[in-house]
Amino acid sequence: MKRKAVIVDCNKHNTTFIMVDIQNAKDILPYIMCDGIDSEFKDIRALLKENTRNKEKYKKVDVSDKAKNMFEMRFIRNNRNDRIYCKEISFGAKRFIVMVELFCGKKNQEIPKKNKVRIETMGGYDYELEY
Amino acid sequence: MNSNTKLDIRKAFCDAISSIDTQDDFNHEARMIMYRFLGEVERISDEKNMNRKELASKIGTSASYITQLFRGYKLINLPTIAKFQKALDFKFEIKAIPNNEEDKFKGMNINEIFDNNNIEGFWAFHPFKHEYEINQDNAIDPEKKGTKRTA
Repeated sequence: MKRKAVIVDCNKHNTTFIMVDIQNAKDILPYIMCDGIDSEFKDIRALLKENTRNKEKYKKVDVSDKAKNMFEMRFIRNNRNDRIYCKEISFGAKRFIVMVELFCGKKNQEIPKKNKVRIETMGGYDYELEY
Repeated sequence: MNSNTKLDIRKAFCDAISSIDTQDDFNHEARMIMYRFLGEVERISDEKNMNRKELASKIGTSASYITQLFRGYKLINLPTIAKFQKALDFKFEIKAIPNNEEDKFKGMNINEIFDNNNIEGFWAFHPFKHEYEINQDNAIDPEKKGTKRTA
């Protein structure tokens, strides 16, 4: 069964679309409204919308071939080490970034095995876009 | 609208997105200017297969200082930009563009996305429902800030 995602932001040229997984929006929305997180999220959105690279903020997750379209937004200020995992796909010049799931409290550099399994599962998600 | 049973997700996100104050906007803009410089530094150092430690050594600083710049903990200064230029053998080009368009979703021509792209079996497109129904199990409570899930 396809999951559903809704567009929540896009750039002025309508080439980059930031979306959220409807099923997980209840976790992601309150998180991005937290003090400190809101400004980090604003930075990440702006970087994505103008297609500016910054691996400290938004990075491809190299787990396995099953998760080849998976990226992570990194929230690291104030001793946090949280992630919003994203599924990204491009159609021609259009780039769609779905915020899939929030993970809080990453402990170290390595991705734990259970997280890898979750990321691979997310990598297999198909989406219906609500626009 | 009862937030436990219904939520316009897009409106909630747009409200959250626009709730940052003016003072923070200047700090944000300052970081964005820096990130544009650093984005090019990252691109060129990747092309040259130069890691952060090597780059730091070339400009006479530490890898952790460069990481702090990329994370937005510190703002870059002009001599450091000049050092990046020399270390990576390039020059920044400055261009001013008018800022008279809002970044706002205005709808799109779905056919434009489908044209010349094989997206069979992956995406389906539906008109956005203004008030998205969410059942009790998936209810959203906007007051519940900072929800955490560890996995």
